[in-house]
Formats: sequence, structure tokens, C-alpha cells
Amino acid sequence: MRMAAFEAFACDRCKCLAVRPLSRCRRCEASTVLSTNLSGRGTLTSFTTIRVPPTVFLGQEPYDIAVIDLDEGLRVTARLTVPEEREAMIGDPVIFHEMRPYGPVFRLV
Amino acid sequence: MRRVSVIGIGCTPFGKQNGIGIIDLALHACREAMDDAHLPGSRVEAFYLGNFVSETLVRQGSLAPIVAYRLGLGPIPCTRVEGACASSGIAFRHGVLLIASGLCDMVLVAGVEKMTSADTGIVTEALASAGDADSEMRLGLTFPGTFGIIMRRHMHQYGTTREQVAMVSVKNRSNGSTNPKAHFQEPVTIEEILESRLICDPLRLYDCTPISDGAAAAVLCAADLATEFTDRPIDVIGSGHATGPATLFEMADLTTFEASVAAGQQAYREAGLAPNDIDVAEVHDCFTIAEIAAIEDLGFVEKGEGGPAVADGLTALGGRLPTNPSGGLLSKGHPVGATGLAQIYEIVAQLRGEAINQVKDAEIGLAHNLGGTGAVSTVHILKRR
Repeated sequence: MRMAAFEAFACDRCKCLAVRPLSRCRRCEASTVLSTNLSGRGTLTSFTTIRVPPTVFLGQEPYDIAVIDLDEGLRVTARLTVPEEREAMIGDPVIFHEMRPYGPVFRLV
Repeated sequence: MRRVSVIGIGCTPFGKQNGIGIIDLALHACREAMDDAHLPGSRVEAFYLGNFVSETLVRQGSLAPIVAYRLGLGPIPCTRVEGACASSGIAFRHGVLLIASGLCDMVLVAGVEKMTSADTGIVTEALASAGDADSEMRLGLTFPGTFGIIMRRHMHQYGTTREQVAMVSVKNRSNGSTNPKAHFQEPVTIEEILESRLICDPLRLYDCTPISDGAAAAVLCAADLATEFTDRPIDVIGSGHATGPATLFEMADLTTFEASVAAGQQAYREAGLAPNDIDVAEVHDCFTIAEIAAIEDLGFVEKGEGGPAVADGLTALGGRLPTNPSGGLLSKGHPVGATGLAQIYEIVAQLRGEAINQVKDAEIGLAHNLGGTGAVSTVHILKRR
């Protein structure tokens, strides 16, 4: 399986992680928050299947959206790809697959 | 800080109000509240109007001054307040602050939403605008989707069962069956809920609130002047207003709304009360699981015990802490901007002893309003004299 690095942001002082770039660290208020690459490995914290989508995603349903806890301690919300023969469960390992225009896509390992 | 009382309340029926526009809905609720308080328009010193998305749904902005002028109020300051589903909880809060500060003696507060005249797709997208457009909403997450994720996590983390969650809807739809202002006035069974259409697994159609029109209003008054207008003023003894993350990935615990916890703590502290002092509560049940999270976040039960508490009847009429005796959002409907004040309307009616599903000897009531996917919450504690 292809491994892709997952881009996040880390405070240069306290090292805490964020999904998005920040002008100041939310924890220590340091002003240097730098881009960092994470492993893209994590576990499934919860998920849902969207069966009634917003208009812009009509035709894509059903699709899964998950909250994922990355191994480095960062929580992200992402699209989740579940193979046909599999059923997702909370606690399952997942891995970052690709970045799409609408956001990150993870898949069940 | 001066004490503040509620001396008048008004509320339209909730549901599909064909032919009645957003301004008329607001006027109806405001006039009812002013009549209830025997208050001439010339005495109103300020007006706050809660509304979420009138520009998108009915192409009407400038709501607060338009409604105030049509009511015949003077050249007073009028402010529209937006905090998604908590818009009118915040309007109420600001009315309280204006009187508590000593700037005004008499403030009218209202909330309104006209939703049923817009296409469902437009309504869905308008509601989604309360989420974070840069992240989760761009991903294709919806409001029900957010609560589907929270529900699955709550069930996993605490062993909450699907049936326990459904009991919220059974209870609230039963309460609402006697409320003539409710959108849904038919009870619903567990089986009907569990067989209703899946929207965002494990959340089903009957776990969700309907799309409704409606308005609600209240007249706030300095407590020392209240008995000039009414012989049964209801005092605001605690007011909380707090912020939390608008996204799931920023929530430390997917089953806890930090804004609700913080707003509740503020209100309890100001009132000098604890959760078990509350006799009756209206909480924000935009989805079944939201009521379970709310009764935990407000400290009525320990975190994780909300499911068994509902199933055991703790929050039913006649239980230790009757919750949503009005039918809640699940039965009454959820005209977003009106919801916070409709909760106040019910609590005031309960404390006056004139509610439809009257809780016996209710003396202290709580109203909890939640906006967006947890971004904002208000909690108010009211007491009869």
C-alpha cells in the first residue's frame, strides 16, 4: 500500500500539533508554527456514513467521514475509504491515502 | 449588577406556517409577549432579535429594526444576534446584561426563523454554514453527520444502546403530543424510530428535528420594577454564555460539548445552585443524542449515564428531573433562531404553574441552548418568587 506523509503544523516552541496553520500556537501562544510531516498512521475514533449529502456532493453518497486519532497525537476529520468486503469499527487502524480538493482521505489498513 | 426578571412571554405555533412571512412571525410573538406583560411599546428601551439565516432562506436582512419599527417601538437600539441554533439564547443573554448593567430597565428579546418556504437543499446548506466551512463542511460533513459521529462514539465509549438513544425521541414526542404549538403532535414508538430511514449511521430520520417556522419572545425588566407589570415575575438568577470548538477534530472528547459545560458552570455559580436543585429543564435536543450529551454536560447525571437515565425515566414527566416537557426540539420543531426563546417560554410557563405538561411545584428551571456543532452555548436558570 502506498504511504503518503500527512502534512500538519507544529509549534516551534512547545511542539504541540495542529491540523491548520496558525498565526499563534493555541497552547503557548508562540508565534512560530511550522509545517511538519506526520506518518499518516492512526486509529478510528468514530465515523458515519453520509446518506443525505449537501447539494455539492449529490451523487457521491453514500460516503464515510471519520474522526481519526493520528499516532503522533493529532486528531483529524477526513473522508474514509472502506474496502467492499470490510466493515469499519472504532479502534481500527487507518492510514492517510491522499489529499483531495475537499480534504484528506484515509483508508482502513 | 441589578437583578432581572421575565414579565412577559410569547410564542407562535411551530411548524409549516404557509403564507406567514418572517416579519409577521416575529411581530406575532413580540406582541403576545408585550400584551402578556401589559407593556406599552413606548416603555421598551432596546430590542435584540435572534436569527440565523434569514438572508439565505427568505432574502430578508435588517430584521431587528424592521420588526421594531413595525411594532411601533421608539427610536431605540435594535440588534440582530446570530449564533446559529443558539441565536435567541444569546439575544436573551444580552437583554439580561443590558438591564443588569443598569443601562436599561425594559428590554424586548425575540427569536425567529422562516424555513419551510425555501428548498430543502438550500435549507440543508444554510444549516451547514454553522459548521466550519474551511474544514469539515468542505469535506461533505453535515449537521446530522456530526451528531451521527458523536452518537457512535457515545455508544462505544459508554455502552449507550441504540434503544436508550431512541427513548429521547419517544419521551419528547410523547410530551409534545399535548402541546398545541408543537410541529409534531403524534407520539412515536421505539420500533418506528429504529425502522426509520438511515440519515447518517447510526442516526435515523426520527432522531432528527423537523424543519419549521416559528418565533418566540420575552419581555425583560429590572427585578425591582417587575411587580408594576405582573404579580408573578420570574427572576433570572443565573446566566451563562460560552464558546467551544466548531469542529469534531478540535473536541477533546467527542461526547462532551465544552461550551455547554462552561455555560452551565457559569449559570450554576451565579445562581449559587447545583444541578440537583433544578426542578425542570429545557435542553437542546436538536438530535436525540444531543439531549443525552446535554444532561451529562449540565451535570444532571455523570458522563456516560445519560442513556440509562433516559431509559429509566429520570428525565420523563414525573421523573426526578423532567427534561423537555414542551416536547423539545424533536417534537416542537426547530425554527433555528427561535429555539432559545421557545425554551425560555416553556420554563417561564412552568414556573408560573401554567404549562401544558406542568411539573408539580416547579420553582427553579433551566434552559440550555446549543449553537452550531457545539461552537456556542447559553444556559439560563430561572426562579419563581
